[in-house]
Amino acid sequence: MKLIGTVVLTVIGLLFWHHLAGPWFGIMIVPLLTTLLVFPKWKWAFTASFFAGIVSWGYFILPTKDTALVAKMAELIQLPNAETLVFGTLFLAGILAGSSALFGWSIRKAFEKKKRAFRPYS
Amino acid sequence: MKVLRIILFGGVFFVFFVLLERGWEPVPPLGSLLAPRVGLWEQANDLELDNEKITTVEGLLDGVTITYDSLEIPRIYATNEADMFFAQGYLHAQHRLWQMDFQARAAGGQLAEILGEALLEYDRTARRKGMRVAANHALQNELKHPDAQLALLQYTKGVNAFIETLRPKDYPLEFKLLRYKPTPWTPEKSMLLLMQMVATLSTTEYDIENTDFLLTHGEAAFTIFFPDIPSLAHPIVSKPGKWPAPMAKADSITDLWPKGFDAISRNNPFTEDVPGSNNWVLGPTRTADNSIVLCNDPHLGLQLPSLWFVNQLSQNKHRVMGASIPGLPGVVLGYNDSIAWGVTNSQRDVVDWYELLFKDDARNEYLVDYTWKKSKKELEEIRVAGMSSVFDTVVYTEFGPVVYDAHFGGNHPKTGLAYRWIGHDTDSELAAFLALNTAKNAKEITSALSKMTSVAQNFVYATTGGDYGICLSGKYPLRHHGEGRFVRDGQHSANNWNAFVPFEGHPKQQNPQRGFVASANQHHADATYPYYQYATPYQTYRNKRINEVLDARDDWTPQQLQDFQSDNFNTLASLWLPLAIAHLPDSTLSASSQAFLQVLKDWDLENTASSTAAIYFEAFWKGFYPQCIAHWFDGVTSARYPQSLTIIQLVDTAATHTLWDNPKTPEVETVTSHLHNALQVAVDQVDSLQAAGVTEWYQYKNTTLRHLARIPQFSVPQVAIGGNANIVNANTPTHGASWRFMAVVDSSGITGTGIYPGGQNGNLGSRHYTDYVEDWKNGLLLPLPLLPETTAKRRHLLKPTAL
Repeated sequence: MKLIGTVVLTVIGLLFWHHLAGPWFGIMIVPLLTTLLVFPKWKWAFTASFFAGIVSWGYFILPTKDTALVAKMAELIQLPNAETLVFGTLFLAGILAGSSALFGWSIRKAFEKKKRAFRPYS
Repeated sequence: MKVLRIILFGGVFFVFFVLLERGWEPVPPLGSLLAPRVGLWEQANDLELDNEKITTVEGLLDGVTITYDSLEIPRIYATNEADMFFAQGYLHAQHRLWQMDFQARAAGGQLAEILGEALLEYDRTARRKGMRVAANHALQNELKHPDAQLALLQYTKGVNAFIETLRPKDYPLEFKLLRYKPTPWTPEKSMLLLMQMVATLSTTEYDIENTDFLLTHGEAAFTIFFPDIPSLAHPIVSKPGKWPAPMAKADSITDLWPKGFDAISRNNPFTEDVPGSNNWVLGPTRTADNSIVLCNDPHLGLQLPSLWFVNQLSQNKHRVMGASIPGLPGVVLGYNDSIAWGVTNSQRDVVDWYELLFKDDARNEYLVDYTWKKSKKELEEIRVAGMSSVFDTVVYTEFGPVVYDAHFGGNHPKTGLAYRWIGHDTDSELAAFLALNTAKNAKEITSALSKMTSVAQNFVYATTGGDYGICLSGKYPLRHHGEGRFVRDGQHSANNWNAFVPFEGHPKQQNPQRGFVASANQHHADATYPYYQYATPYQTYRNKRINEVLDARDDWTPQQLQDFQSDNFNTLASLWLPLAIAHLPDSTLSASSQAFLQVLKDWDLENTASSTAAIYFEAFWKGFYPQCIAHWFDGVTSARYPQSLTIIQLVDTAATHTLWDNPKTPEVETVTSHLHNALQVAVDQVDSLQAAGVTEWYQYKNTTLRHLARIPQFSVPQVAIGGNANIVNANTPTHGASWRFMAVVDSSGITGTGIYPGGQNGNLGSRHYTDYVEDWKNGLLLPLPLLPETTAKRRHLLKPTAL
């Protein structure tokens, strides 16, 4: 549930952020906040945010894949083709979201109270 | 462990953030560039209208309708002039905002602010030439004319109305790449653009280089190598003995032949490969259907986004169609319901350099007529990206701003070179263009042209009333014969520009007996013209070709004239090649050289895009010129080589002269030995080129439409177009026909067609960024009809906000 919750919350958060035409670092802040809120395991935090980052950026970026501008930009950045630029960007989005989720997770973990071991009444 | 984990992940987070937010040279900040909704992806899709759109804007008096045709040419329909210019400003910004901003910065010396230290010298030169002062002076004069004032202020409001609609995500991509934001438009920026165009067209001069050569080699050598007017050239206007009586120049000057000069080395590379412009009008006696046909192709730097933007402006009183400059209101080149017009550059000398003597290195006073006069100083702050501002003090004198002194390019603490340029006298150029936009007959055209000061152009025109003609605009200092070719003596006020040639004395001609008028940057008038006409340089080959071809028939059709705009005949080759071949008999040549020359002997002298022989010729010619006289420039600080025609004529008439010999070598060089060397160089070069796959002329020439910020990926390289400098189809690697236009004029109206290299939309992602290039290279013209308002499907309605 936490995995799904993280993905859903992150995607919604990022889409909302993008629709506000906010600055680029939403991809780093939103997964961090989501992870703080949901607090999944670290593997889940990374994985969920990784894919959430890809989905939310891909929603806007993929439709431009075949345009002349993207091809020119790929050439400018000295990438072999437009696909590399688009999928490279999506991978970057995933890494950014995932790493920020890990940061969020580490913060939450630092403040987590240690659980007491279960000791039934004797 | 917990702390370590936070430090580790936090560190990764922080590093990502900093790298992507700040970028690292030369990579821009990738965070904002790659992010959706703010980054480059926003410009990837065409945002052009596909149906009706309504926008409410503040500042309009009434509604304005803008319709678009399939070529993305907008037509503005307004009920009053104020709204018409407002809408034009809005449209220009919508299509070319970054270009407008960038070019205004270039004109005003503000490029280092966005491009860094590499542009600092460029900015300092612009500041020291007083571009901003000239623009402000021009603005104050324009604002005195009600029409120009209205146009400028409303245009500015329109630009700013569009800018206000933008969010960062909407900024043109170049703003995002260069990391800056558009700032509000001002009338001063419009004037800076006007001044930049004036500078482009009037500041090619070699006074400093001429002086350097003169002081090195003397008057006799200068006269041989640098005649005022190329002898083969046909004047634009020939009417011997019919010129009005001249206005006498009272002052006697002291500096016809300078005796000394504190030489400077400036970055002013000489090139013979100057393009130039063509225009002609054929009268009814020269055309098959007795119409008047006006053709024009002004040649300027080939750039993307394109220099021009085509639009129709309509309001109750009038309508006009043609090429406008993004950043300026009105139409610069085109036609209205009654007249059509076009230009070539006059090439006339409207720049002088004056050597001044300062009292001391503070430059507060300079000596004129044996009296110390106070200078005026302006402190210029030049912002530079990535470093703190640089401050430069520009000294202003009665001879203009001091460009070169000990602080910039010069060597001596007490001397400086002041820059006297007609741009600083700009009076009412915009008002004159607006008057031209609404002119109805030849009289009104001439009246408009008489108001121009710094726009020094050969205007051709045709009217539905049946008149056609040519008229020189601009203002020219009244000069003694030979005056103005060298750096001048700034210690005598008599040497300053104290009088100007009256407009009545300008070369002009209407409905001439020969049935046509034409110009191609040559000298203006025949030898009986009473005023001294000098340029650096006038041109020869194109006007010779144009006059001969146009004169050869009297049944021209518009299609033939359109084809002639792309004429590739190489007149230079036709003059030089026979002379060169005569010096190189087969018996003196190797087999490979003989084969090489045979290609040239078989050549039809056409520089078509696919020609191979044109490469052979160019390699041979470039191996000969200017190398054959390079030894004359060994000790010269700044070199300006003689024009090619001068050299060709010397080959013809003085082949045995010692001028070809370099005294510093033990061998005795002759024309023949220079030709042998050039041929060998050419043979080797062509072999290398062919090995590299360069077999067609256009590949060798490499005409490129360069992005303004010189970003190769946003440019269009190696356009498959023929021609070259000095050819009617004058497309060089960097310059060419920036606008081709034809108007067929008869009593029923005007049919306009035109094209320019590029496209209407400055957005790199638009399909209209370069969609005219294919037709342009093929010499085609696009229909540019003046249309009444229709219910076109693609239209943009600008509505005023409710009061």
